[in-house]
Amino acid sequence: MKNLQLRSKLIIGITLVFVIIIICLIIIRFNIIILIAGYFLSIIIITAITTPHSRQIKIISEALNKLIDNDYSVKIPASRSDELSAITTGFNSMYNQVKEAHEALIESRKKYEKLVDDLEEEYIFYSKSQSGKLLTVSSSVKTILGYDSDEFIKKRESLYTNNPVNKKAKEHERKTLEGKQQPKYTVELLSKKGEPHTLEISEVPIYDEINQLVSIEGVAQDITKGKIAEDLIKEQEEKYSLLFNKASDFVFLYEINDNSKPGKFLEVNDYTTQKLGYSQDELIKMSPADLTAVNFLDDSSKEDHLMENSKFERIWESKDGTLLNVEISSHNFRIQDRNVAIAIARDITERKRVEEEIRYVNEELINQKENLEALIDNLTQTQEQLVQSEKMAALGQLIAGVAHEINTPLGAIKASIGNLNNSLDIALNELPALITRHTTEELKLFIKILELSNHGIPNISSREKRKYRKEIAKVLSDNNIDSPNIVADIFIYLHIFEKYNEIIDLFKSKKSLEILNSAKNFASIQKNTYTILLAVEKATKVVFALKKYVHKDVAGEKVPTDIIDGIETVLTLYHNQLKQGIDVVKNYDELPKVSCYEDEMNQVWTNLIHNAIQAMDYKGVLSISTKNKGDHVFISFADNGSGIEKDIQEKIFEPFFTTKKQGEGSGMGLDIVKKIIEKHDGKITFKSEIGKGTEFNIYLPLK
Amino acid sequence: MANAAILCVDDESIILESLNEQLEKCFGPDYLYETAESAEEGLEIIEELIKDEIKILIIVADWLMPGMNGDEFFIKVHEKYPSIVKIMLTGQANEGAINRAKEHADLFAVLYKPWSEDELFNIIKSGLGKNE
Repeated sequence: MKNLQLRSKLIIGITLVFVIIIICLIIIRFNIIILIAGYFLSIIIITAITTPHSRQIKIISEALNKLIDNDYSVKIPASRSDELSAITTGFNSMYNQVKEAHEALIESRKKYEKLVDDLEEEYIFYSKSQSGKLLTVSSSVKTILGYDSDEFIKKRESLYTNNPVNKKAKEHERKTLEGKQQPKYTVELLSKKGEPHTLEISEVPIYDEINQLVSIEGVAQDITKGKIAEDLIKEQEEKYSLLFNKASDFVFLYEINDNSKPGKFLEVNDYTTQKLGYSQDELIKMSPADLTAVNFLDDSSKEDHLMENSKFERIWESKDGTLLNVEISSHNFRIQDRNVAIAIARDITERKRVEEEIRYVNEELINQKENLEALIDNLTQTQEQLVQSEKMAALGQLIAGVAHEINTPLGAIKASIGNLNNSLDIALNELPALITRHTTEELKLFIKILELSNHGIPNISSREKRKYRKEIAKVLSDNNIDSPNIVADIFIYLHIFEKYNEIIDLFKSKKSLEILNSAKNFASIQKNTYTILLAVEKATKVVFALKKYVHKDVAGEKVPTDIIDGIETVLTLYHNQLKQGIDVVKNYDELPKVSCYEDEMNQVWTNLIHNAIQAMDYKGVLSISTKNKGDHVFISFADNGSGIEKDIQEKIFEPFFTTKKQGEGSGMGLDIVKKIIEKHDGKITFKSEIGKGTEFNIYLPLK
Repeated sequence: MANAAILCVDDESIILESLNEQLEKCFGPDYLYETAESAEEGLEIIEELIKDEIKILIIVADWLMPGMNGDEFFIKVHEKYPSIVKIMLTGQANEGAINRAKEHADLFAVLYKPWSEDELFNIIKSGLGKNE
């Protein structure tokens, strides 16, 4: 520590030399005058008075020497001799002046030393030999870099960092050694802690009297902190500059005029110039408002001033006429008493295009949706039409049977009326004769015959009738009754099959055949009337079923419907086709009324019964059963027909799927059945086996 | 006793009853009037009558019947007894069936239900005339 202080004091001393030299120069010049004056004084004194003054002169001379040695302790006593007195007064005056100067010097030196002390925090003072060897370093090197002076001298060469500034520094050092005064330069050295410190160096080459370089004096200032701040600012600047220039958005600075409208561009980034095709120079003569494509100014953007701290969209036109959609966000601020704004504009042309595309696609979708809805409406209508046409097709097939069903009773009625008229005519004609001509016995026979005759149509087959006729004819023949066959025929006509024994004896009379014929005429009236009645009932039933079948639902609403009644209606209409060879086995549970579209339900039964008839080829057993399960009902239709092939089983409910010949079915039947059942929240399933038949099961909820 | 018969085949008894009475009224006791409720029964009766040496002159049959239809029935009859006059009496004419019967059973006439007495009379009469 002492050593270091000593060294630094040495350096300070050396530095002081400069000052002292200068001061000495002044003082020396002054002394010379005094000496010269003294010299002349001495000669005068020596030549004039010689010895008596010599003691006084000697005192002055000693005082002078002491004075030269900076010893201000001497004071010369006054002399009695006038000449010496003048010299003494002169000397004393000079003495006072020198002393004052010396004291001022000490004062300024103290100040200087304090300055140096203060500077030690930041400055390192050093001197180098003419060969560049570091001779002395101020102790402040310890404060600044952490090394002792000696240590620093030894290690200096190894402390240079790789920073490129050191390369330049070396160059400067070399030039200084050549005696060339260098401007300030920086060097980067590692501190003892290993941190790089930037030092600003100023070196002064020192020459001797013959202009020979003797040493180099240098001052190094630690500017690391400042450097760091400076570096930081520089780095920030670089970053911002990079950000500014490399941003892939338009970034620009522009003036805000007094009327708060956008003024000229002040600065634009690379992206702006590239994208707009204008050069920097061109742009700084323009205002952001100039970029707005005129044709696209709408009312809102006519007053094209960029609002304060706002975000807005514009259409810009680049130099080559390309239109760009931009979204601008602008912020106003003051810089050096000027209103400026910085803005970032983003090219949203692509986004706009995509938005437009999306909007277009959206519109398309809406259109398509509308089209689809129209299509669905259409389809619904078509489906309704199909349901209707399927119904009509089924009806068409029915009509044939229905025509027969109605024409048959009509035929019977027509024939019966003819018969009736005929019988009535005969009966009326014969009536008086019958009453007057016949005996009471004969009339009793007549009445008896009419009593025995059954007016209805007995449940007896023609085969049985033939058997009876033969039997009766034989009995009559055995009883020797005339024309047994004719009598037997009449008995059969009168539906007297067994009770003829009661009247057989009466037929021995000759008039018996006449009476029998008369009775037959009367019976005919009743019989034909009854036939007409039956025929009318039959026709009525068919007409009623038809009416029911084509019945239109009231305003398309569900009504409580008797399921079994519906099935029966369809069976009535299909009677002709069923009667050809199909046994209908009914197994009905009583069902509550089910809320449904009666009309549509009838179509379900029609389709299923029709399919069953075709599957059985008009011969077989159709079993229909209904089951009441409380909250739902089951209806099943089972046939013992051909069954459905496994590979087409899953297709049977598909629309237009049919195995029937062209014209026999549209293929819509089961599809419609399924849709109708589903419309009623029901389900339809089936099981089928080849050769054994098919069973359809319908589930209908009761709400 | 009559040894010639007219056979009516229909599955509806009201038709058989009324038709039978009508024929009997028109053509009197010279003929036997037989009825059958199905084609199968008709074939049976034919065989019985043949056995009884009764000549079947005319068959009037419905077309739409359970089991065997009229055209098929006529074809079968025709195969064995081509001389029998065959008249179809139907509520609904199936063109194909009529053509088949004409072609394969020499169908004499088609009568449509409801028929008139005169129509029936004339056709049967001409049928009988054809047979004599």
